[in-house]
Amino acid sequence: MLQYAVKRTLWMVPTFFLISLVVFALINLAPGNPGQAGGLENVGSGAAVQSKSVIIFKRQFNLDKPVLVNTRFAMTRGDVRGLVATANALGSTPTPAQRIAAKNDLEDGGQYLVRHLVALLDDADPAMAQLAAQYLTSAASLALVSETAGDPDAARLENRRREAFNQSFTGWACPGELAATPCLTDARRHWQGWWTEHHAAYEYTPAESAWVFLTDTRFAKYWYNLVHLDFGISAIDREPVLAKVLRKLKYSISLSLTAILLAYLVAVPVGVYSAVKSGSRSDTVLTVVLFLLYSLPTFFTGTVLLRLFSQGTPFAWFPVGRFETLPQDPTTLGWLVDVAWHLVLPVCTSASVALAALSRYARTGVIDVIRADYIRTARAKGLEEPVVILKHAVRNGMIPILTLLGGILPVLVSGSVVIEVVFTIPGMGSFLVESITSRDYNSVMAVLLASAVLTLVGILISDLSYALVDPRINLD
Amino acid sequence: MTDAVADDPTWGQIIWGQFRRRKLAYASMWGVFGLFLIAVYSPIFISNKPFVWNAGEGIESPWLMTLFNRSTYENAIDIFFNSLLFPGTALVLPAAWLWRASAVLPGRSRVARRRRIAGAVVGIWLACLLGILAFPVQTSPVNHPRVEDRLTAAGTPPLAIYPPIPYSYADTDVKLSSQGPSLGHWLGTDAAGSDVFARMVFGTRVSLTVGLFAVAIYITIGTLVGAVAGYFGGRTDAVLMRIVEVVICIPSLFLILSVAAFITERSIFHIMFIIAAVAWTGPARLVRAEFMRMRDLDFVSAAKASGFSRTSIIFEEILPNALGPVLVSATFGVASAILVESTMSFLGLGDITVPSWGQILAAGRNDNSWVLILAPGLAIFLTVSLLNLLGEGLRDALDPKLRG
Amino acid sequence: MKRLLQSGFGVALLALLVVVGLINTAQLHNLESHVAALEAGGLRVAGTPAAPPAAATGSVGEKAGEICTLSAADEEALNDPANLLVPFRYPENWPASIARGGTLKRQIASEPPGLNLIASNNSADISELYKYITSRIGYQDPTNPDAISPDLALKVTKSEDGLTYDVWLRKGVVWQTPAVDLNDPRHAWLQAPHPLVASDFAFALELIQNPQVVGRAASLRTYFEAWKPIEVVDDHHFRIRVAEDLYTNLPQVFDLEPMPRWLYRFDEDGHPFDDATWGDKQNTHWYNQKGIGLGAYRFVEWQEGVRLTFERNPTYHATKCMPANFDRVEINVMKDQQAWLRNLKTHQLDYTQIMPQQFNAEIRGKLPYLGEEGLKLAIHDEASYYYIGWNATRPLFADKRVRKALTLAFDRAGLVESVFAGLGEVTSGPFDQRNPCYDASIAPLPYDLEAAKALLLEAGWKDTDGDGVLDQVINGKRTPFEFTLVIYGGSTEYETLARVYREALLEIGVKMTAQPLEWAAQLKKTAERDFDAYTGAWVPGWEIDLHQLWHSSQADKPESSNYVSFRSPEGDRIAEALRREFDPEKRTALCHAFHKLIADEQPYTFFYQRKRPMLYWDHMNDPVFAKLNPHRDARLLSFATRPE
Repeated sequence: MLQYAVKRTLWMVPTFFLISLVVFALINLAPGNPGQAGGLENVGSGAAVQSKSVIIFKRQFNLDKPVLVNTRFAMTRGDVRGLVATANALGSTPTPAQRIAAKNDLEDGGQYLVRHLVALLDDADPAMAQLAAQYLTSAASLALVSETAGDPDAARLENRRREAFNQSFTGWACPGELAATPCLTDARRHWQGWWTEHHAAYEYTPAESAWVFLTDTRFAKYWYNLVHLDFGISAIDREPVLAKVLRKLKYSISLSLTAILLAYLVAVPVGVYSAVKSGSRSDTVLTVVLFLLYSLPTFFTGTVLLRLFSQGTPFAWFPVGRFETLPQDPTTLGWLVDVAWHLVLPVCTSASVALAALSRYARTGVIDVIRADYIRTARAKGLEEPVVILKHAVRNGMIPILTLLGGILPVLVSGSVVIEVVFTIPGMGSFLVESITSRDYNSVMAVLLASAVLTLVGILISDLSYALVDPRINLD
Repeated sequence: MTDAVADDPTWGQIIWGQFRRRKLAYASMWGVFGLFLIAVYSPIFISNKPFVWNAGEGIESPWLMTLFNRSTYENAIDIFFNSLLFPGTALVLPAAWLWRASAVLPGRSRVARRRRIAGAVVGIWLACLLGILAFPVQTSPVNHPRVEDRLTAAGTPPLAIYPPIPYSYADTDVKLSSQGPSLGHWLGTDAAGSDVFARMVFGTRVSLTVGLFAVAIYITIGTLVGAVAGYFGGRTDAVLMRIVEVVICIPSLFLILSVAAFITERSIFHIMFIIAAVAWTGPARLVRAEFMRMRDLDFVSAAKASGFSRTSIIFEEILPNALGPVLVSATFGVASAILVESTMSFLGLGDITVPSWGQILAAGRNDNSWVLILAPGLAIFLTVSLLNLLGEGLRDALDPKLRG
Repeated sequence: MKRLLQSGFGVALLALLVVVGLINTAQLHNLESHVAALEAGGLRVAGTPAAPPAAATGSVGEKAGEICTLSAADEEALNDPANLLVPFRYPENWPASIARGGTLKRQIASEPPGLNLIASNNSADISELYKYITSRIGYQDPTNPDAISPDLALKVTKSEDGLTYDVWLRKGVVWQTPAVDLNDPRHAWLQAPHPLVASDFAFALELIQNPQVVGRAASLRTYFEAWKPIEVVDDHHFRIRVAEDLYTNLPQVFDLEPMPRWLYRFDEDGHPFDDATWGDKQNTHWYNQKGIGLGAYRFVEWQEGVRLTFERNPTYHATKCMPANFDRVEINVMKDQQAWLRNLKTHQLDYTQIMPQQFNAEIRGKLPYLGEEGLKLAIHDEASYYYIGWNATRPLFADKRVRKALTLAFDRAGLVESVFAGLGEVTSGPFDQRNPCYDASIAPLPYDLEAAKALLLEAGWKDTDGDGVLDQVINGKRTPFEFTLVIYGGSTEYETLARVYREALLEIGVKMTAQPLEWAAQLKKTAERDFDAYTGAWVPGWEIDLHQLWHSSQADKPESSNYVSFRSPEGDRIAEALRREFDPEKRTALCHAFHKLIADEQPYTFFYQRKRPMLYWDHMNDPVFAKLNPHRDARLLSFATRPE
């Protein structure tokens, strides 16, 4: 048993890796420019200082990296020249889309562009040379490292060094109106001196190339951070997303857990009653009613309940959505009552769906047991019918339905997107919808991965508990 | 179903017999069929094209002439159902007669004859549909009610006989926006002044299409994967099941919403594919389990021994026997695909160019209108219930334990 | 089948501002935040205040005889003829009596991404919330945006050459106490009061110009790019130097809001950040989820998902002129806008805005009592206008007759009346209708399908193949008149609008497909000019600058705001002249000429300027609406009688 559990748990690691790969690829390969989402709105002109910010922003979120594999080390000088020409409409008339694409490539290329840009300083076209000098300042600059993870003092020192390095070549570029020859000559001299000193860092051996190919990518960086339990920060408010997700979990779990409990509380007696009266008219009616309940879309139930009982058409018994109102200086009890008041409608909506499935399981479980030999024995012993049912049949008939609890774990998180949106409860579901609309990649990833982990754990628990309860199951 | 007396009952007939005994499920089957008829025949009741029209230039039938006109029916969904309405109905009637007539034939040739009839009907219809899709017709879209108003005002009213509800779901009239139910508009109008009843009825087409096609796609994928994994077992099975496991572990609604949101130009077809892409794991596991169970049974060994090819063993020997559970899960699948589509439309992640129930409900929530909430909500509820009851009946009918 | 699929996809477009409001909760957040982005950084451009009103030399703030300036020295500074600030006056319609105190309860549709004025991401919420807690150099008269009176500064002067602005600060202004537990030894370093000093303005500019700072700084940066570092003369006097003498410089000066250097340059334990990385640190600064400022209210706490609370600022400097009228302000987070009205009725709110559909369904035609005794309705204008932009680089829309025809086929009045509940005014040009720049004599084009057909025919569009869609040979290829209109994703109003427009276009032989896109996707399309047409909105600002939107130099520049590639030598001339024209009358003449040009060229189909209804209980005084950001300033609201 223990061996089985350990084996299963270990298997979760590669599965999780695959899940993260699939989710990551889906989200990052989808169209939509992350540099523009998450708040960096380039409303104004694409001015130089603006574009510097965009580069910093992208580097902060690793959005400058290619998604799965990195082939930038293989770029040629001709490629880079083409990009510079396209981005600045030199000698051709590219479409705005092409210009933006080229500009992005130049922003993202970073260190891989440096050697080509240095070579382009000697380009026959002075405009090209001048642009090369400009792009060099951003391509050669180093991104700051995070000071929150690892050793903060070392990180701080490293950042000082990097910033000094970046500062060392500011002012070497020739802005548009100064593109006169003396300035360009100066820039060439500066950069070529710099290049002799630093060139080794910008040339790649085949081994380095192979390493870069796999590791200098968005996914590799993401996974590296993930292994350190760093889910990144939200592009919206720059809070660590893990903390946010955990906070949202509080709402989702309160909602779903209450709903599940309520569903069990109703479903078990209903199921037992149906089983005992199996075949009777009341059993049929109950089954059909529960079945219909199961077919009600939650967004419809939610909307109707909200209108009926909250919005004053005709009743206004419950608050309209939200999780809590938090009156000033509430007592714990007052707060609980407040939350309970808000949760009545969403919990009912949510429970109505689970109810049908659970009561069917309960019913089948009890029916199976009622037919079993030991129940017949119990009856034969002359025990009273209610005792037989409650003490023997129900107790054993409930085992399968209890093992279902493990599988319910993921439902706690994901089952309530619609309900959270309809009732404006700030849980995981509405957080996901908001993050999707604002293209907050780290948050979407964190929500999807968190729910995947819960699912994995849920499946494990439910398999294990089933195995524990039912000795017939062969663990190998 | 006309006559199952003469020969020994086949497996299908046993199941059918079992199924008919479950009254609720049997009734649901007819209910689903009814929905399907509504979807197919809705233009007969709801259309802004007159059956008969004479504005002094001779009698014509704009209704018939525009059935496949892309200016009137822009969406592929409508073209599909209209093709069922027109060549479809025309084909089914004689075919039904031939079918009935074949009852006198003895067992084997009757089956063969009926196969030919069914094949011919489907074949001709498919050929028509493909033709229609390949050569789209567009003509100048005449708004007949408006022309009629103009002519009437000019004192020369045309002869026009309309379907009972003379609106299309795309008609708008801002002067009539957000009206309550009335004789002219049974469920009132929405903010654009469109007839809600027309939108509701044509919404049936959208829901059924999404349900049927999404399920058809994923059942195909799932069955293939499951068959391969179950038949070959070993490493193939391990790899395929690992993939299945990965997909299962990502909560499907989360995944569907994320993917849908990242597709910026989504149509109803994208939505079908997204649903299919997430849901194929269910049938894959089912079929795999059936294959695992059956691959060592005698009849398979016999087939292997007689030198049948792998493909024919998989597809002709094992698969037909494994299809029962798949059929049941497909029925439930249609119901849940309809739910998912309406959820997506409700959340604003659907296709706005088709009149989807979820979208009507979202508008109702926004406009605070009971009619716009109740009508689509109950329609979804009804459709999903019928499908679930049908699936339930099928499952029971297929379950030997419950056979009485 | 392929064709069908294509019709499902379509090309697309984009939009700069957004479209309207409402909608599903999640979308609203986005939408409003983009409107705000514009209001906050976007198109603001200003002018010198017009000549001071007649009472300039007299005493100030006549209402109730209150004097807002404090000392004789202050009075003298204020009366300096070079001073660009004019004496304070109460806005028109200022209520006769005010019951001070009590708690004002209102709502907000989404939570702000943070409360750091410069480093947090831009959103409607943050600009709105900050109105409570900040003060600026000058106070802009809400009902007369041209008049700016002293607030943090007593005197602002401009040099002869127009390149230098000198600002003299009021003395004795103190920053609010941070919302932390000052008894906690960890925060003991924050205990001392911090006066406002000139270097706080220099710091604000450093923040904006430091590329490491993302968030709102990124959108502000474009506007402050040309500023040289602020020269601090002494603690209460600093000098701003700009590169060029433009009309828009002065409003920019008034837009600069001070930032507390003593707080943001330090980590939570009071250790200063490295010079190399202090900018980066702002993005995740420990105080970013709390607010601080110099305004009438002080930030108290933010309970996630529930509310933000502010209280009267005990150290507020302008208590005599524009005091805090309430002891507390509670801003409840209510994402479901359907809930607003109901929460108003149950007195969970003192006032609220109403969305068009709800207005239509529950309020319109039910005046004056709305079913509840004591509820009052006020409808106010908003500064934004909505439009459809036509991509002039697409052959379909290159001809202005075509663009006019498309406008003629768009039933703007009908839509405003039905879908937008009559809450708006059809508009004809790119200015706020209340701005003198708007030429009221230019009427919007009518809704006239016949005229549209005739114009299209004149432009060479005929249905030659009888497929119901007009066509024309363009570049040797027969091209049908089909295009895609990008609309704001998730907005049921815009979906409705698209359906109505589509049907009308079909009648004149034009086939339009609507494509709803989320904000990020729209921005990408507009920036890349990869669209046929899109629905958008602008908040044009009071001080008009046409350069960003209409100058031909912006037409091809990726990511600039001239998305439709409008090009007109005459338009360029006017735009350039307007930037350097300071005379109000000549400016108006230039604007009117431009309005006429735009009405003739129709680069946009102008749709409408929005109005919004506000419902409030009668224990509140009738609200004074600011022209520019009607709901932003809590100081304009007050109780007539204290609510229970």
